[in-house]
Amino acid sequence: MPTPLLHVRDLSVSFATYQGRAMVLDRASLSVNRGEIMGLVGETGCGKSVLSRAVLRIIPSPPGRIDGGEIVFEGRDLLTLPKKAMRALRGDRISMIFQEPMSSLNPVYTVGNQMREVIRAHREVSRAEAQAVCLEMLEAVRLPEPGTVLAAYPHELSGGMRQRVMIAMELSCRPALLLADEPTTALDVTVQGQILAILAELSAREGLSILLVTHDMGVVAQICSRVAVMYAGQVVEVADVESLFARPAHPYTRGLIASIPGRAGEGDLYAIPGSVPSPIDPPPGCRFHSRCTQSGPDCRRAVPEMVLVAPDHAVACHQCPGGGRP
Amino acid sequence: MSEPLLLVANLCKAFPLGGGFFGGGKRLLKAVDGVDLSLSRGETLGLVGESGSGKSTVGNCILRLLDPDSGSIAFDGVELAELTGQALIKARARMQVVFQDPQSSLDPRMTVGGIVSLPLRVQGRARGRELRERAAAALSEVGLGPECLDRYPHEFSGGQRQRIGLARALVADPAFVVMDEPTSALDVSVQAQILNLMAGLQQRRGHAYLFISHDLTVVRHVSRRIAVMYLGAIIETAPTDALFTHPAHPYTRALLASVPLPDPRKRRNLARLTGDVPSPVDLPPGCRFHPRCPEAMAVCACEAPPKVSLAAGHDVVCHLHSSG
Ligand SMILES: Nc1ncnc2c1ncn2[C@@H]1O[C@H](COP(=O)(O)OP(=O)(O)OP(=O)(O)O)[C@@H](O)[C@H]1O
Ligand SMILES: Nc1ncnc2c1ncn2[C@@H]1O[C@H](COP(=O)(O)OP(=O)(O)OP(=O)(O)O)[C@@H](O)[C@H]1O
Ligand code: SF4
Ligand code: SF4
Ligand SMILES: [Mg+2]
Ligand SMILES: [Mg+2]
Repeated sequence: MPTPLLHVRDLSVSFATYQGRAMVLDRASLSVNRGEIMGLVGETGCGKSVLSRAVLRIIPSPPGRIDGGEIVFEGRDLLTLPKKAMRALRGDRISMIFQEPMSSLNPVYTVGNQMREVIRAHREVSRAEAQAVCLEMLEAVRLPEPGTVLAAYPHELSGGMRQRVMIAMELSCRPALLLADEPTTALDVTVQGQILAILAELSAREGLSILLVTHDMGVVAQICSRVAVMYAGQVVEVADVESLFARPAHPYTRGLIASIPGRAGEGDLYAIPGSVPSPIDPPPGCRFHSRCTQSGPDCRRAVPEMVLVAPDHAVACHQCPGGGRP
Repeated sequence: MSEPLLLVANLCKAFPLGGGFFGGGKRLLKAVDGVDLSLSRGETLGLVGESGSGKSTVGNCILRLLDPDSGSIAFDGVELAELTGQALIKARARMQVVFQDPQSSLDPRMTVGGIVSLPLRVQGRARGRELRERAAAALSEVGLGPECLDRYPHEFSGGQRQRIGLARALVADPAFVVMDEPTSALDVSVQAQILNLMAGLQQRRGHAYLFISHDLTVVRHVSRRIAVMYLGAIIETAPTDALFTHPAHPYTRALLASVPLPDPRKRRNLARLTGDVPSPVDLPPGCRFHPRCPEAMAVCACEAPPKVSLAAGHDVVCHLHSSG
């Protein structure tokens, strides 16, 4: 097996809150291979954004704290990297885009100003060379009239155009890894389709690796090659996308897939009973046990370890017989 | 076919844009531009379209939360568009609404009991103990116990808050409920609980729903018929199966083809349209979809397309289907 580009291993993160310490990530592990789109799914609050932000070390601290684990990228543990080296990596080898592009675009500068600045922060290039890269990137994300877009201020662009500008800007230094946190959630479905097609094409053509955070199983099915499913701060299943949809192994994943409308036809949808536990004082053992129809006595006592149930298909569940650690 | 419960004809609503205060040169945003729709008792009509297409404005005009500029809204034989005062309150008593954001649509300073019983109080239909009893009964129908009556909305999860919103909508026994993106803020597993609940309530109580959503998969699951909106107009109406098997309008086709199917064996090109939805301030002449339409013809840029009936209940507004 090839060594992955990114390997998050046993990552634990907590936040100080008024109610107590919230254990938001509990020994979460996943990897992203070179040139693949890895999906990261799970319900609101399960820790998807915290995990992806931890990779760039942009978790506010305090209140946040990384309690353990490692994040190995291109052979180096990012958690032990000096701050300066980490800064050099951001926007260069690893980039990130968010649901709301306005949060990363500065409203008082033109698109061109901001893009050139990003490029010149990481590369020694002339203004003209930077300009050429900008135009090339805007074309790569299918923006019509890239020259006009460069001269525009962010508020003069539509939501879909802004998201494309964001992608162009974040990819202008040709990073190896793009962290994309719900990049299309705020967009209309026809515009979402355009953005997803661009991401898939960039990954296939340029070998860009993408960690795609989403709560939409349709998006996962359409453009990801592998998927990690999170529940209440734990990664509970990792598989290639075909296996995950055809043979979901973890009871939570099975419930998640069964509750998607339109898969089973008419009649009632499958609904997972109960609700997600609080990260403050989370239940011991498997965090899904209060809602799981298959839970046994082990489930309340011990956190299930990730085991392989098939090649490239790992599950953390006491009831899934597996063969060895992934 | 029995007479419809709700019949909306040629509904129009425009919003003046800022800066028009001193009159002169006032520009209008045509949010809803000539909408027709009908709804039978106990039926669910899905209303889909992208952000800003006018779905909520249609719902709010029907409920008279907004005053329409023109058009007719006949509810159970009574014309609502011109009613005011007590007559309007009375007619509106049998209509309710559930909004997308259970966070902001529930008053944070009121107890759940107070919130759920509010429609009864406003209509003067119950007092004292009876209010509390009917609120408890409505809560029990949505799966919440009487201990919730004295708690506050912030103590509940998103899915539970949406249940409270449903209880408030059904406490006054409405004939018709506008569901404006009732599950859009919820995760799929919670969404499934709410959709099942809504279907059960409809079966028991015979409510008619106008189900507004931008999520075609959800609309398909809940609706018997679907109307598709684009830039303020309904461009296609069809029975659910017909819409999905024989979409007739190029926009409907593109919309259906852009939905990411939750099945990795059915991958497809999701980039079916270029560009974004234009602004409803300067509507394109002719067909409002022509600047993005992959099948546009010369006539589309100058002449508004007619409404054509393709089959029973299947109407489309497009030159491709007009004969002659
Ligand atoms: N700055 C913070 N302070 C306290 N708690 C936080 C903070 N940031 C995140 N959390 C908590 O961490 C948990 C995980 O949050 P995260 O944003 O990663 O969820 P998510 O999976 O991205 O959800 P969503 O789908 O809603 O974006 C949540 O319980 C959240 O309340
Ligand atoms: N009170 C208002 N004043 C001015 N413009 C408005 C007002 N309400 C709605 N609009 C505009 O009318 C158009 C239709 O809005 P509406 O909220 O009905 O769309 P929608 O289809 O419900 O969209 P969404 O999916 O985003 O909820 C939009 O362009 C919107 O900006
Ligand atoms: S470990 Fe136990 S409780 Fe957790 S998912 Fe598996 S069977 Fe259910
Ligand atoms: S009328 Fe013309 S532009 Fe409009 S949808 Fe039909 S073919 Fe396309
Ligand atoms: Mg998030
Ligand atoms: Mg709306």
